[in-house]
Amino acid sequence: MVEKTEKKTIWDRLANLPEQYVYVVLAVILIAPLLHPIGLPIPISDATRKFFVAIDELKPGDTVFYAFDAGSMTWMEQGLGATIVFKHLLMKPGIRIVGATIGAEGPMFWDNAIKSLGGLASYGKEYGKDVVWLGFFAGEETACAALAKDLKGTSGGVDAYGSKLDTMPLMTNVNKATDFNLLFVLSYGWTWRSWMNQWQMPYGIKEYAIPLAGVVAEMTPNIKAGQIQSIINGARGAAEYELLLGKPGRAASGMDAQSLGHIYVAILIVVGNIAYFASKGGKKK
Amino acid sequence: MDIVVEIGLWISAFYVISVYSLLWKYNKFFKFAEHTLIGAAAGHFLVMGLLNIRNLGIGNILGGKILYLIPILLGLTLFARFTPKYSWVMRWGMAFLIGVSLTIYMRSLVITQITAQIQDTLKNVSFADPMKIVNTIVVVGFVFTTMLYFLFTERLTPKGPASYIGKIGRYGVMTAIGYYLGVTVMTRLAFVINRLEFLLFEWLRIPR
Amino acid sequence: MSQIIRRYIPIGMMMILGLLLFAEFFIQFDDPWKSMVSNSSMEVQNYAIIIAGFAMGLGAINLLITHGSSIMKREKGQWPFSAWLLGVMIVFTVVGLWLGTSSNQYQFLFNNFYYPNDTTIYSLIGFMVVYAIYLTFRAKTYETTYMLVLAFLALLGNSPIGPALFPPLTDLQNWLSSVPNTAAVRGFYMAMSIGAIVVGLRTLMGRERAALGG
Repeated sequence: MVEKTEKKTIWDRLANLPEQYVYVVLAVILIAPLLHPIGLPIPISDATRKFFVAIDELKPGDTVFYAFDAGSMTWMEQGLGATIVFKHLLMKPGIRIVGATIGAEGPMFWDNAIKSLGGLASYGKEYGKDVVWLGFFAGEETACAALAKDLKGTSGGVDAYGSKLDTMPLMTNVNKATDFNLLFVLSYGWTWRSWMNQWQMPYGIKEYAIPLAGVVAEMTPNIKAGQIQSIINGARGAAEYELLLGKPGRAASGMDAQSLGHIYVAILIVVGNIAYFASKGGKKK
Repeated sequence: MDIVVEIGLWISAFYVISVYSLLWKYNKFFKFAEHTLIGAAAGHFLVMGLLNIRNLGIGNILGGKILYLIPILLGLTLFARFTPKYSWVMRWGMAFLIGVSLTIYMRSLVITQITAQIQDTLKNVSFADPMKIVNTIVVVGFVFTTMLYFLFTERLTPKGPASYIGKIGRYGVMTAIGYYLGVTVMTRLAFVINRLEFLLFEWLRIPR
Repeated sequence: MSQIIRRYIPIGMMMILGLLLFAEFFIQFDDPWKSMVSNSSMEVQNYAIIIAGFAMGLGAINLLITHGSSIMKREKGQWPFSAWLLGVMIVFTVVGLWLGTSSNQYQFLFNNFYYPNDTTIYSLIGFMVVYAIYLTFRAKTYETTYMLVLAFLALLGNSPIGPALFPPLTDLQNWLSSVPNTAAVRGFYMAMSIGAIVVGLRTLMGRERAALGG
């Protein structure tokens, strides 16, 4: 006996759109504002402003530690914030930066970031005197703990390029967590927690994080407890930072697409629910 | 050399389009890109691991610290897992690694994730105005019910007074998941926008 | 004897290391114990970093065995891909070790063979998450409705356009983030930390067999 198939109504179709339709519309909605920017507003959040002020208030001679835990999967969003913060630090006269990472891909993005910023010399900075890169350390939180106590001992006395740290003016009085004024953590996942556990909590150094927007939801207890001072909230935070610095770039230019993409997702949720309740699926118990 | 940059650009674009072809269906181009990634990742991690060993291990041994032979030997024991007869040897290296990393992780957890969080929860208890009363009820309610829900899920029976703890705790979990899903959309869209920007402005060189 | 070497010495090693690092963190020693404990724990941490470096090579060995076997057996439809995989791995390793990871050659390989693949595969999730949100965020029960409303407000509040179109969304988003979400995540992480400490202590005492491979 042949079963009769029920005729699908418009609501049934709207409640179960094929994925290719959703993907194509998403792609169009994201591409359009990239090709023809609209100029939608970008309000500046308190978190980004606090992060900006922290760097702005650094004085010549201050030394910061930049935990450059970049990952290739997440550089697409984090690279925006990481680069603009790096730029701000390099723009400040007299600020010294020591960098290291517990992410295996970090060294590649450190080199890429400096290249994209035009090199240290374009900011009047010199490697060894203003900036030192210690490289990658395996062991995640164990490496954080070891670096906090003895940078030179943990790195074997050399930087990432094999040069002796004792010959570098920057490393003369810098060897442990308490020698730094601030800690910046570019976190590809949960490495912000490792640095918080091993640098912020035991030694009281103030930590500022650049996480993915999705991870921020998990960080709020630690931000509220004062363990993380402030964050750059993903791509939007990077765009806000670019505007604060007066140098709108890739992050700001992508915000129109972000805005329209969010509106599209919101519309999909609303349409999906209306269609679900109006269709046969929603009426059945 | 510009020609090198150009070749690199076309290789990157080929891989981006090959991976995106999965949105249509699984195919050999995607499989090729997938295998490239796995090989590249394995190679990169191997290089970084070896450089780490060279700088810290070999460097210290050549500097006179003979005791650094111990981690080199313990590290080599990890590879015993590939031999069925002597796979137990790997336990020595694993034991050292687990002993150190687990202890370092645990000792700070007590303060950062437990005592500091309890302190901050109780610090914000206030009945000064209606909003603060609401906040206090929500915060204290969710913190403890969610924690108890995770710790004692089976004991928070469907019936009885304890079941209310479970119900509120479940709403706490829904809060965290719902909020997370809402904010994570920005990250996902940022990834897609980045790849589209690469294809449009770097590969096809469409003027912005 | 074999049980001592295979099981009890590794467990003993874990216990001693655990005690040393806990003591270094929680107990205020006087000299000369202070410098002895501090120096020992520092060395032990450096040793662990080196051993972790070895662990990073395990994946490569595993791939060599798996895909090498596929090539030897000439598995239909797979062996050319396996050969390509191993070839890429070897090229990355040789160039990385010989010329260094800061060299132009290694950067070319990383930026054009590794980075575009990794980023694009991860960006696929962007498309799939949008579709998954569309299909699953349906107000079928009280709990899912609650989750849906929260996610909807978080989505709009976190976007650049949301607060610009509807200014009260900023305060609402801040309240959602700093009150209910913080409380719930805090409860979750406190429970997870207690669990982690319990399992961690059991592992250090050798009560968890799985940690050392059974």
